[in-house]
Amino acid sequence: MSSLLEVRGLSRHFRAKAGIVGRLTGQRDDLLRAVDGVDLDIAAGETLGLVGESGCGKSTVGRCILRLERPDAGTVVLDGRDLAGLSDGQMRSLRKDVQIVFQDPMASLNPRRSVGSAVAEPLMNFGMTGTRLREAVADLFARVGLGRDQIDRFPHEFSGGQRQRLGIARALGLRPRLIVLDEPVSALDVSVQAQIINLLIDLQQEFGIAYLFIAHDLAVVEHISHRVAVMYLGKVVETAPTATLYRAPQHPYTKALLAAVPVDDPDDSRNRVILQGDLPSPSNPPSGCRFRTRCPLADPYCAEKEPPLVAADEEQHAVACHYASTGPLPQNTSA
Amino acid sequence: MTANPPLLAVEQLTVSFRSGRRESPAVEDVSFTLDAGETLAIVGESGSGKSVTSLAVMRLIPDPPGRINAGRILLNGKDLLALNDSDMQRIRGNDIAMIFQEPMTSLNPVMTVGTQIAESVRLHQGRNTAEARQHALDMLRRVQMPSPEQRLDQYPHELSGGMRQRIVIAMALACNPMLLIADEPTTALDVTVQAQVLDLMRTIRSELDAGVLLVTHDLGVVAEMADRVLVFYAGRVVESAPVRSLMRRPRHPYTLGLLGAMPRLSTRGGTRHERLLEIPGNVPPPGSRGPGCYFAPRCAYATQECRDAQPPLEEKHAGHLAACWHSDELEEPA
Repeated sequence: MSSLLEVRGLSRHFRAKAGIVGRLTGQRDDLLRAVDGVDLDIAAGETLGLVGESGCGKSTVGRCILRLERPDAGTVVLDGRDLAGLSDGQMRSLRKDVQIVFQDPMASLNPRRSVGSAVAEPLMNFGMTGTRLREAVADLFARVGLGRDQIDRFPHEFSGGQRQRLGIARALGLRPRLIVLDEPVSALDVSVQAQIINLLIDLQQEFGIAYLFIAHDLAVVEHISHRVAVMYLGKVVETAPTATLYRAPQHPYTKALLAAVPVDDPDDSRNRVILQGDLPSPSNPPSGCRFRTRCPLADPYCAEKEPPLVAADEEQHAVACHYASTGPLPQNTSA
Repeated sequence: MTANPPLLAVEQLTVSFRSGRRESPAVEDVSFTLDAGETLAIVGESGSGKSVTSLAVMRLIPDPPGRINAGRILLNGKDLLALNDSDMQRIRGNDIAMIFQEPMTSLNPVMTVGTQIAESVRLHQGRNTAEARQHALDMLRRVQMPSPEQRLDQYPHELSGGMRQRIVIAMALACNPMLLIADEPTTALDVTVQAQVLDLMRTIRSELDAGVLLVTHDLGVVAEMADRVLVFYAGRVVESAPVRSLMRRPRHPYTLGLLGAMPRLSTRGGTRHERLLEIPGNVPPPGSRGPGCYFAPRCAYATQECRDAQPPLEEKHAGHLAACWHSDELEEPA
């Protein structure tokens, strides 16, 4: 498989400043390792799902790929060019190949400008003008299921689902090779969510765009992704083709995550494994394996040595766990 | 049915909100009952009136702009809408407690957790400070808070989202309410923490024997928690049924549509990379609704009859009510 996007060793650290009281008492700034050595590959026309709970660093990965954040280490190679090493000016011309859609499209739309001008803006930045521009905007509106008569309206006149259609139209305009979708449907009602997911699938088939689909909803991610990577505290703990990951997960975190999804069957009698505790702070992650503080399989070795992400039996399946296996997870005894 | 009144009976409730000179209904003609020990889920999308209904039960509708236009809300046979403010204040927190989606909005950022939990028992049960603090500690143990002694003196910002929601639950339970209203209690939480909180709510429900009114948009949470379900659409109840009956054989096209639009894990019957069933269009805003069924403009089964006349909420099957002229034509969900 040749990759469109190849991310290697990506790290992004934030300095969490000690407050004024902290500084007076000699406290040091914390180093928050939001993303810590992440590798990802996305082929042309493919959807990679990136899942994990809040604070795991999944959105920061997306922002680093677009260079909305400057990575502290690692390479982001798109079509043979390393984006991490480019100057801001060089990056600008590459932005037409990579676009992003955010969770809350309202935050990326200017309330005082018509939605048509928001969709036109990226096209104008790349030199499109006049009737060609107007035609292109009208095409984009039609393509995402909005009417030509809506072009001159303002953002507040649109529902959440329609605003997300605008966000997609805007990202689509420059015919990017890759779109980073950061929780694109999590703010939407379920009936509207289905409309947007279907639209994304249709657009991918039509234009062959690759997606990095960042979300916390495991059912949505399974539905749309070809492959999935699971993140925990800044690291990828498991990655596999979607069918493998959901049918035969090997990392205890992936198993627990899947077991925690509520299922719309009142007679469902799964042996639910309920993880204890919360996500530890990424500024002070546990030694060794970062999941060990919540893991029912953890032993002293896990505190000592961090498990690397290594290939499992099946193709394209990699797991970072000393005790990876396909068996069911034992119930946590400590409560 | 026994001679005893149900724990909660809502009868023909109508709530409207005024904006400018126009008054638009948020909830129309809603009736339901809830028994002790029972969990009734209210599901619907944003703007369906599910939260307004739960706020009306607590008499927390901001007035103005909101107004309860009609109906009765009976708690053990006593009409809450007829009470004066101070009597209602005694019922809130004591007999009825509420948990909201975002725990930070119900916690005071400059008060320690222990003081906040103790406050409700001091106010409602007249205990002294030392007793109240001990009670707060007991409550923290009951909601399975890790290292509870230490938590008492911490502030809300020092805790994680899951722990904050445990604090809010501890506050809600401090006076042993007979009715617990939970409005999207796990929506802001991560899925592994949501599983913990749902588990805790199940434990507590069986200990208290309280009635639980669970407001949610998540049909998975409904299936795990509820005994009966009310489906709201555009301010009206469109379907009311025991949870199994609703999931197996929905009798309203909107419920059928919601079930079809929901992506499922493939190990649970979902299909990957296929188109999901869509419900076309959006919920009609109040004021632009016709005389007929509010769902008709989005409904594949709609006929002229649907556009002309509002279908009544009728029993289609034992204990299973739906407001649809075409209930019998619906197919079973895939």
